[in-house]
Amino acid sequence: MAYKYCVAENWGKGFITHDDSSKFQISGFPGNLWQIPANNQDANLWVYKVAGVWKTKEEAQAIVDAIIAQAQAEWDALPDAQKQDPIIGRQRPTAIVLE
Amino acid sequence: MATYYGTYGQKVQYLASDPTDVQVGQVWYNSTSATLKVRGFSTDSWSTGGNMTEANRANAGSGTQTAALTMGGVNPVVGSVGSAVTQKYNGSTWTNTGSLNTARYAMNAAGTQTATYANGGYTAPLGYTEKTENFNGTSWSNQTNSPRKVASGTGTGSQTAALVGGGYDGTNWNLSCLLYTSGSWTTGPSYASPTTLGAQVAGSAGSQTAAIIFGGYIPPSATGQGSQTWNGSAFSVAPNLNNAAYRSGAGTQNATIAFASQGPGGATNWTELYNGSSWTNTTGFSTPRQEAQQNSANSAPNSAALIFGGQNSGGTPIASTEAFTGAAATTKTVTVS
Repeated sequence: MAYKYCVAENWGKGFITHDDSSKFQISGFPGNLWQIPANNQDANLWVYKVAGVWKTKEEAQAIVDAIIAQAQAEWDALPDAQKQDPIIGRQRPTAIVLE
Repeated sequence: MATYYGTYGQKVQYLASDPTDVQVGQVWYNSTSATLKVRGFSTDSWSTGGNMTEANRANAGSGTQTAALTMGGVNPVVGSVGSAVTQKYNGSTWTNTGSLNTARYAMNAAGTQTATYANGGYTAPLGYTEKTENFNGTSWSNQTNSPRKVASGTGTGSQTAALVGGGYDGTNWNLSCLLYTSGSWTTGPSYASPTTLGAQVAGSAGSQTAAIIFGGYIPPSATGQGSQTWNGSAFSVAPNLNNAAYRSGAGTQNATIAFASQGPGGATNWTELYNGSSWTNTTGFSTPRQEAQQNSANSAPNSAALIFGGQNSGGTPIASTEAFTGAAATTKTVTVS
């Protein structure tokens, strides 16, 4: 399936409604980035409703890459004891490849 | 041109108002609103809810979809001390209420918005803890400590009758349960063998006498796919989930919703429903999350649940809330465009 991307801030209730999600799949990514199906009128109307700013796939990938790179650098800087602790440690953020 | 009468052998009802005893598949014309209507089924779906006042991962939660409670968690601002912030949700917005006496994260919790317990977790410099507190709708009060430290255990039931499964005590990953009854703790039995669910960050749903626990972390590096039911005195092996993941849960023992709070590869949005005999994948929430264990309103039925907090795959705690509504019969207006 082909996708389109936009950046929009999730304001909370009403941002994605049950009606929206029953009509098409919306997937959120770091950076307030949202993935929706291409060639879908309902999805296009949703982007208009949330005042989304369209991004090309390359632009969207760059947004995600920058955030993941920063998160990885922060994780790498953690003390080893903290990385290995089963509770306070957390997985090193992994790269996301947009479809 | 084909006609409805010609195809189905019946005319469309012409009614001044929608019928009260409507059946799935029924079609009628509402002459008052001048609309053609049909009774069908909606699909499982998610919608965004209000954003939390403080974004946290490893926060805990209780309550229902329209009256939820979240407490504690961790974010870059509070660091490893954890948060004491407690927030109430009314179906639209989160507001702060009385704070925990001990800031922490990776707790287990269960109950209602006005009667919840919270146990265990981690806070610096204290470390792993057995501290227990009860919330009365306004403030938290310290209670008897649990018999062991419980970090990232899973809790279900109520403030006066809860089941707590698993947890890490700083040395051991425990594959047994604790029972919290009217302020007193007792040690319960171990999970059934073979144990294919995790000692940490498993999900749970149900009551102290009829519950289900599923998923979780199996040290040193595996992710649990199993589930086990609890009848008040013993665990039994139940069907595997479709996907191994850390989990959060809501509903009852035989009508359960399992949110993925982290998959083997990081943040996920996997959602599964249990009907008492098998798990079925259903529509996932919009924002994949990790470290979102124990952060669902877990006394809600599995057709009306809520998930909040956690962190995104970039490692940033998130404030967003999503509400799940299960498939149900619904009346739709037929439009032609």
